[in-house]
Amino acid sequence: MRGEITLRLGRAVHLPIRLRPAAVISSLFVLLLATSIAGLQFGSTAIALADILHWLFPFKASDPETGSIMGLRWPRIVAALLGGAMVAASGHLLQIVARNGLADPGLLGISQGSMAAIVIGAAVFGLAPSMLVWLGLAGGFATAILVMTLAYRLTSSSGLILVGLAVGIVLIAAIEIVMVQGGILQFARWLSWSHGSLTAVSASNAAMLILWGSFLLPVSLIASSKVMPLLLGHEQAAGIGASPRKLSLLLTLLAAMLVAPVVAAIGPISFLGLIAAHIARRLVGERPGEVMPVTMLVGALILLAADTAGRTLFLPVVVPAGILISIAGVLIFLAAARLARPRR
Amino acid sequence: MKGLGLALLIVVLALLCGLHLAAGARFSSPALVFDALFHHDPRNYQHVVVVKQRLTRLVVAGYAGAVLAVSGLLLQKVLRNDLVSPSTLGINSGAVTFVVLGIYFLGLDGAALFWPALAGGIFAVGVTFLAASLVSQGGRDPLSLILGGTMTATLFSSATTFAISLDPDRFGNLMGWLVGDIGNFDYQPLTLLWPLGAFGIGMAIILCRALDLQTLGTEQAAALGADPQLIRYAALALAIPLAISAVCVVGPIGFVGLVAPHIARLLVGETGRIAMISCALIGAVIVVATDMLARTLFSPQLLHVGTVMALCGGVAFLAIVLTTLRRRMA
Repeated sequence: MRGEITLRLGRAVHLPIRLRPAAVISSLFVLLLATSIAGLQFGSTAIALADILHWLFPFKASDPETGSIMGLRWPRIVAALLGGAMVAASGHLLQIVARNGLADPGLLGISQGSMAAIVIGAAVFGLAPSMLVWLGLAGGFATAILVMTLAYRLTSSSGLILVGLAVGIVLIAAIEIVMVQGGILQFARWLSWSHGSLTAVSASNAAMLILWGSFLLPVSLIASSKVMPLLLGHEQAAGIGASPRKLSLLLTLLAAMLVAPVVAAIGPISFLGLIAAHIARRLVGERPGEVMPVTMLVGALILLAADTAGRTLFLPVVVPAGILISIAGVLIFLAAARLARPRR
Repeated sequence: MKGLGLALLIVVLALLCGLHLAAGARFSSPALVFDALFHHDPRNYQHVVVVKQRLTRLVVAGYAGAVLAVSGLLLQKVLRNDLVSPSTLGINSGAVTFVVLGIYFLGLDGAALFWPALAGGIFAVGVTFLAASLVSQGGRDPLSLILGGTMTATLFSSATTFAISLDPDRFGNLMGWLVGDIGNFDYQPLTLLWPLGAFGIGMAIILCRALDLQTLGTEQAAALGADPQLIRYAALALAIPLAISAVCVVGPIGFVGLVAPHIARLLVGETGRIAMISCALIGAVIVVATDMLARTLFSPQLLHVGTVMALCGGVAFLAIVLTTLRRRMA
């Protein structure tokens, strides 16, 4: 088969490596690296590339000014990279479970479920931030199960999305009750968080994302190579010995777990999962084991690029990343919905 | 049967109005409400509360409900789609975006905001139709119009959030309006806008018969002597300004326009002038009842009407989507 080389280690081990995904993944890595450095470099104060390299590889002590600016910028970049990868992975898992190319944690109400649980936990019960992630996880999972159950057996692909959107509307209304209790400044902060914004990301947020991401991202990668049978549909999957019901439930749980810490730190980034998985499938085809890593990289790249652009292009105005992504997301959603329709 | 339903509605609305005037932080007895209305004593504080705070809210709530419900029914008839309403087509969010932009860039205020709101509503409907045609590729799937509308609403709400984040202080007294609220001074724009609402509802009642023909389908309607194109534009030209006039007064209150026509259909059927009038009454009943709930549910903490409406209306929207989908599968 063309486009494939086999790595032979002795006689027993033959590792086929498909060239296209490998090339795509490595070029995405290069792009990510370049964007990260650009993100560190630009802002209201630009920093010379040499200074950044000195800060990254402390060959010599960098001056305190660079150090403090970097201290503000790196959590944001790390949060964008991990948050983007996690939301994108969650979107791809949901697309597999729902067998619907338009699924996305923001569109199915899962992010809103996490958000509602976090807001109510924080504002009404005054829980500590470390508890909030678990609460968000429970809220997101419960919403996912609710939406999937309500939309069970609905054949039309827009049906699931509409059910998710309706559930999301109810949850947003519940959040609004809490949101409007403070003044307009707090309302504006809630509002930009509710669209996803990296402005308020702190080093502890970044550390939390690193903690969750370093466990969940490898798990999603492993999981994605096991889910091929689900693409055939539940009957066929059961026919070849997989247990679709259990697998779907586990994947949904995983998807909710991926979203909860991101919602807690950054807010819901709607449409990111949809966009990233769509681009990834365009790049490497349909195999979940290959699409998943590409989806993660594309998600990380999009969120980082959107945040860096929103932070630097329109200075002194800062556009929250979530807003740029929603606007791009709506357009891509429409294009994807058009392509997803069966050809006549 | 139809007359009975209408009479029932009028009685319910009257009772609810009385209850609305009586309920609040301090319950006023029916006798007091009666006195406040008919033997008004400007030096009696309780009379002032009933007339200046509760009556004005009642009028605003009734107006917004009636106007949004009629707008929803017009849209549902002319597009032959049970799921459309001013909020699900994105009209509300388009209007909000343009109002916020109008305040920010042009410094408009008061009733002058009607014009940017109208422009926003029309623009949003255009975007929704465009989005729906992209999704459906010319098929007549009722869901794709709603999907297009929701996407449009997402787009506009992002733009609104962005505009507010530019300078939150400037929108300080707009917070309630942004989620939909009936304030004590909302009757002021209403004094300018009510003729539009009255005219719109009147025209809707006159156009009713032609619209009912329209629901048979374009060909049949044309065969029976109606001009489908003209009726369609007339109905849209009525429905959008009607919804906008409510948005200008109370903010984007969703789902009245979606739910009221469905209740009217259950009570008095789908066609005829009585259905249109009932729909307006039902809309008024819904918003008045929601306003009362918002004021009393968590008192002394006040909720916003728009929020309570989104909670209940979102559930109703979900139910309507599910029944539409199930019916289609059966």
